[in-house]
Amino acid sequence: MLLPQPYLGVILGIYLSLGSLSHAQEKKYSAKFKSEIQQSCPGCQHLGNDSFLHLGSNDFHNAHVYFSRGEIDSAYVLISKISESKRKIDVKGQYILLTLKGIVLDEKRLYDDAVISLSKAIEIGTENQYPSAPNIYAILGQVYLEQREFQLGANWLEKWKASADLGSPEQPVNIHNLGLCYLHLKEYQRAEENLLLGYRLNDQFRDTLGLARSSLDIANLYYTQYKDSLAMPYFKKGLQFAKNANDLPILQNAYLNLAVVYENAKEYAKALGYRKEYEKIHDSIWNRDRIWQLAKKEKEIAVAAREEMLKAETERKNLYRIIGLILLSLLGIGSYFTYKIARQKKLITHLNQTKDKLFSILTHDLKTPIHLIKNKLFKVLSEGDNELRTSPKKWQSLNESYHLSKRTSLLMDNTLHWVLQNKGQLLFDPKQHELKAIIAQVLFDYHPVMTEKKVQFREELEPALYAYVDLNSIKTVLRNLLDNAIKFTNPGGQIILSTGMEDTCNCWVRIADNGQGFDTTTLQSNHRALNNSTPDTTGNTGTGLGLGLCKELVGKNNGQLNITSKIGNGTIVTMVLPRPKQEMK
Amino acid sequence: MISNKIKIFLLEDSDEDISQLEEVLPSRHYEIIGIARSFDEATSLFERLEFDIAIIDIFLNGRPEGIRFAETIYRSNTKKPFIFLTSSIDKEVFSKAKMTDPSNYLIKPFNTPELLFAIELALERFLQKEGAFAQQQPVFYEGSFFARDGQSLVKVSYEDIKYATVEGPYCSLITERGDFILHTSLNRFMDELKNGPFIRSHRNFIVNLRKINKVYPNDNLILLSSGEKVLLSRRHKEEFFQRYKILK
Repeated sequence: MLLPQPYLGVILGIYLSLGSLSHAQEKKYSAKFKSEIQQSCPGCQHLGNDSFLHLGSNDFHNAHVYFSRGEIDSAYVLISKISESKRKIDVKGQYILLTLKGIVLDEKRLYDDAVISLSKAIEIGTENQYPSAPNIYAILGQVYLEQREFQLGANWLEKWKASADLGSPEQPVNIHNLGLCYLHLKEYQRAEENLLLGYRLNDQFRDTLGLARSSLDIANLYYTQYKDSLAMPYFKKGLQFAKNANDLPILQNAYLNLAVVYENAKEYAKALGYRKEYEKIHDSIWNRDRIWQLAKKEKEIAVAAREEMLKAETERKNLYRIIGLILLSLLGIGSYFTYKIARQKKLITHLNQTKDKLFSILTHDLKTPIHLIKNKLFKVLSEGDNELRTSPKKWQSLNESYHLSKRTSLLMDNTLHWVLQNKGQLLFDPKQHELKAIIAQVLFDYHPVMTEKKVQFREELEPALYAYVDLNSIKTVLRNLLDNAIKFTNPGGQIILSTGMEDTCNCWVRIADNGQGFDTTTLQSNHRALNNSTPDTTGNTGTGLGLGLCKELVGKNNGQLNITSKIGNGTIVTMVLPRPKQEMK
Repeated sequence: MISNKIKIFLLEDSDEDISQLEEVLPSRHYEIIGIARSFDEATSLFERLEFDIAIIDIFLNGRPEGIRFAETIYRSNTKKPFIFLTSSIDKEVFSKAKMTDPSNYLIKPFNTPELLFAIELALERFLQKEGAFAQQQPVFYEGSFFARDGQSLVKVSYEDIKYATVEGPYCSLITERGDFILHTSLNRFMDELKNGPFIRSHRNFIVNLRKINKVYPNDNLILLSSGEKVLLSRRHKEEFFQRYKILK
């Protein structure tokens, strides 16, 4: 029993050549499987039918594109990536991926894993009655055949055969494989049946390579059964088809088969001729394999690089996502606070505006009636009714009312100035004004008061002295200063109002009294504070708004307010004001 | 006879303010020739009345109608000085008012000197002679001059001038409305009057030819219709008679 050994080797060789053949070739799917891929691949749907072999941005799509291009390593990386990711894949997608994975594993000779993968695919496929499911039976059958599990292979291939469409391109291979299973199982009749059918089908599809394979395996079938006369023509046909198919491994097998056959027939010359042809091909295959290995190595590097790239890209994408998320949340927090602050600010502004408005309305609306009361009282007093004069009590109360109205009027005016000044809304229109004229306008209202209080008043005014000031604010200051001077001067006291030239740029207005005076340190420490007031000669206290306002208004006019005072010795207030750049003639 | 009072037009809706103005102004020789209480009233009066200066309240019934009326004056062919009257000291109000180029502002409440000073300053600013009245200088304007007379201001038409003479370093003006001492030289005064019927009769005299009753060349004397006498000097005699004949 010398023969079966080489035969088996020959047979295996033929078979194995089938497996390695498909390695670098473009993968062909059955039409059904292809349509199922197209149905469930988001990439194909998105890009249209032309995209079936073109890479896109979707991993699933790229997996089957790599697969069909024969770049099974890349395909495998992507398939693993998809199944590891938490992304949800529909049942059909899983089925497709399992199938592809099984085929790749098979080609990597990881048969056990391939069987697991394909069995799962079959389970899903039959359960959901996918039209392409029977094709997987054939693939699984082939895997078993490669594993030399001939009975299992035959079973699955028979199962396939039972539901297979006749006339599909993959039919001859599967029939042939079924025949091979039976050949190994030594069920010669079934083997012959299927191998001859495979031959016919290959003939029908004009598949030279398939015909070479069929011929050689049929030859082996007969030869194993010692039907040499039947075997010989098929060996020769096989050689002829192998030559035409231009496929080195199968040609090599054809030569080897013939060499063994002639050797057994003791026709050594012929055997040696075929053996030599076999050796020749062996060398070229060896060369080709070396190139193959180099290419494979390169490919592995490329795959590793691509994997690295994919990983880096994923990491980068993740990083971008994280940064984006952080920025987004920061923006969210930021805008929330901005919104909140803006709202609060709006509210505060609104409240402040309301306050200012209330203040200005109040003071404005009070200002006029108080002024009218003051005017009417003044009128009555100046008309000097004899009846009134004879009744000192009435006269006094009228007089006090007049002073009160006057002071309230000043307070109103001060408040209005103060509110507007704080708002930055106070009228300010600096112009050239003669100091004497300003003083005359202000003094007009105070002469009667001083007469009433028996205060001696003296003016020492420089003629034609001009200041560059805002009239309204300086009048307000003068009113306050005069009011203070009168307030703190005892009856019979003295007030001197004088003006003069400070230097070429400035002039001064001075109000000096010999009244009760006050402690200036309290003034300096907190001149803007409200309620910083001293009781006057009648024991009344003011608001203390006056002097603070005066300082501010004089400052606004580019002037200075200097106060010197000594308790019991009177007060001297000097206001230094700028003169116009060019003095008028 | 034309009044020498400065004519004032009022646009004011507050009775209190009107009564204050009516009380003060006439007593200081100002004449209120019209009071409008609304914008419409003001525009119709504006076309009919001849006034020297207007006092305009910015707010009428709470609306800044005064500014609207000021715009009417501002755009008219005969520009007139006007004063804005307001109780507001809010910058915003003034920035709007400023666009109409007012001559002055007067803030309520105001007292008499404030009112008079505001009017004087408005006229000075309008005629670009700021500080003139305080220095007793006349301000000439369209056949008249404004000058301070005691505490008040008068407008004197050239026609009312009888003659002008020298009074120390100043110039004394004798008019139908009384005498004025002006702090200006007779020569400068003559420059202003040269387009009118005025002639220099003497180094110290300028005389209105229309006021002459009779001339006594031998006595070097001119007798005016009012009975006053003006000197005629030999140096000015020839020139005097040339113009006197033409104009008489």
